[in-house]
Amino acid sequence: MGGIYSLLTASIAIVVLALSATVLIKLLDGSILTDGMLQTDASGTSYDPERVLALIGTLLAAVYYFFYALQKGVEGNQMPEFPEHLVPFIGGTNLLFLTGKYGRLAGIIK
Amino acid sequence: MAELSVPQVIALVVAIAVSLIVLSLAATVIRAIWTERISLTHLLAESSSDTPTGSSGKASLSRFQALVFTFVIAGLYLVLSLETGTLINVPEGTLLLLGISSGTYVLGKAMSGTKPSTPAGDAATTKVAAPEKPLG
Repeated sequence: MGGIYSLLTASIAIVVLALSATVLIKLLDGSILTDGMLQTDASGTSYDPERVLALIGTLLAAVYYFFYALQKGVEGNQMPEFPEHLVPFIGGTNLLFLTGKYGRLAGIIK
Repeated sequence: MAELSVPQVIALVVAIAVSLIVLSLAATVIRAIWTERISLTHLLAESSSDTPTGSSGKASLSRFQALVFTFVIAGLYLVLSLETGTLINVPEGTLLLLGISSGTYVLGKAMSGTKPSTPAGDAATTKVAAPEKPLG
């Protein structure tokens, strides 16, 4: 049965890798629209600081968890838990992003 | 090499067939993406009912975050499953991370949907003035 699991997992791994590579290449060559991601109002000239913080936080947390999980390995037949100290960090950056977005849409923040 | 029993052979054949079907479907989708039959241009764009394409033309940070976390968690799951040779479980903390990302996307979308409509949005209901008839 181990061989069957490996075969199916390997197939799905190939699919996920191919899709990931496709999306990554499309992102890097500009085929996927990324304009205005760091602005609430796309016609504005400056970036919103809460969006920049959320973007940096997302990338840092993703990279940290990826290497942390690879290093720790499987525990009791499950993936390593997401580090507890990162949950408030991600929650906080997202909350700041939403607060900033609401403030700018409501005209509270210019 | 130990001989396989009939049920084991059937299970192996089914697993190979399922793998081939999954790989074929994936290859079809990836080929369609590369030949632009499936366009990923608006993958990260916020949706809008005001445009023919249904996209506002502005990328969404929430969608980007959901994309990053989905690929990271899927990649980790597969690497660790291949390492152990069995399908592993996803812990609650990781599901919470996906929940935070999805919740941010939904709340952000709700905020964008409740912003006051601009005067330009009322243009569709404005009657177009008839051209003046030439004199004589």
